[in-house]
Amino acid sequence: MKRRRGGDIILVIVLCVIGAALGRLQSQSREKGSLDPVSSVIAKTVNPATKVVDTVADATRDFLSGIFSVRSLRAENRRLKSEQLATALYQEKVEALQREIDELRKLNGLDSTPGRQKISADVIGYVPRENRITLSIGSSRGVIPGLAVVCPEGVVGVVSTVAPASCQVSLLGSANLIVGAMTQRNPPSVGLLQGAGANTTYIDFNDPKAEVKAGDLIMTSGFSEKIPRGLILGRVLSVEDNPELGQRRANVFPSVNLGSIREVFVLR
Amino acid sequence: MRAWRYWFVAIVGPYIAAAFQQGLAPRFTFVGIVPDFLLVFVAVFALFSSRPAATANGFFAGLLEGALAGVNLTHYVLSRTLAGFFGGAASAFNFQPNMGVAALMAAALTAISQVLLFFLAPPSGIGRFLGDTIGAAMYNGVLAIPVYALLRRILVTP
Repeated sequence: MKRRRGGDIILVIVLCVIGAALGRLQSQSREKGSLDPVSSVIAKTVNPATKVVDTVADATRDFLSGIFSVRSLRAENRRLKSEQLATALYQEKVEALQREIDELRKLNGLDSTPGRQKISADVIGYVPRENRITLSIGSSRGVIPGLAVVCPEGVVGVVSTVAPASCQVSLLGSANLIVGAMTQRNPPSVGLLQGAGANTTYIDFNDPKAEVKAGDLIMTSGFSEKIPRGLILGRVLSVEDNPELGQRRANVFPSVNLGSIREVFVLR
Repeated sequence: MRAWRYWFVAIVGPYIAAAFQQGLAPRFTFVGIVPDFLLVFVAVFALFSSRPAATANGFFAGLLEGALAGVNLTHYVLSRTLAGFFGGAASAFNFQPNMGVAALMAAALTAISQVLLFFLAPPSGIGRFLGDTIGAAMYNGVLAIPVYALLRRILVTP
């Protein structure tokens, strides 16, 4: 009995050592912006099953909601179709203006703005505790670490690690994510937005007199090679002053409701 | 208990639990508390297995959970391996497994693994962490009841 218990403890120690070694391998791969081989194999093996589970869950939910709200769904469908036509016209105009901006930048010897290409992706995993989501696209579709991930409501997060067919996204609430941000004012106040847990972010302004008030819209500043300017990050909840550090801090509530998103876009 | 059934559950169970964790856990979120299907499986499977088997099951659950969530593998592997070990060690008490025991086991292992995670990667807010841990332990305990019924039907029914 004693020998068996000793054997069990040795097994625990061996497995813990393997775990530590795998963690080290993961950290080394993450520094290079890629997924470690073990995580990559696991993701490739489990993701197809996750997609099946996701599809079945969606189908069940849609079926049940369809039974109880056929009439309102029909009306909504008609309204959405007309809105889609109006959006298509607007989108053409935006693209023409964007092309004009790019040509003017080119004439001035500047590179074109980032985030022109939208790559659609499904959310195939969500870990609220770790402020991460997994997307169904990876390096095979041109995704690289640092790209912004958005949905119609605003910025969801930033790509952190990439595998060939999937990628991990650090959400705005993630403590290790820092994004250049600014207020939607004239002139705008610029600072750095940082995560502090789920649905909690803050922006530090180095200017203690920065013009910012509760309710202000916060957007990306565009001081980045990969994240374009003007993407909605959230709204200011409250403003705090720190006279000792000469800083003003605004607590920002992210605009994206993470629990409900299923489809997102990666901006390349 | 037929050996092939046992091995089938040991191999396929964590795989299905991982798929559920990725696909269903966000939909099952209740007042901000997310269920942990892998941990529930580790706890219930420990009732039907030996200590080394439960430990190994905990190791693979931690590996799957850490890899899929893209979080530190060391933290998850260590916490789940030890949770599996403690789950397997509980068989030394010679109690008769039932739904109540399965629920208590899942709640206890959730608490143990969360406490281990607390020391490996200290969270920013202790109050919130404690609230989440208690909530997750209760939620996982409830989820363990149908999982126990299913595993009992597969593993024990002649």
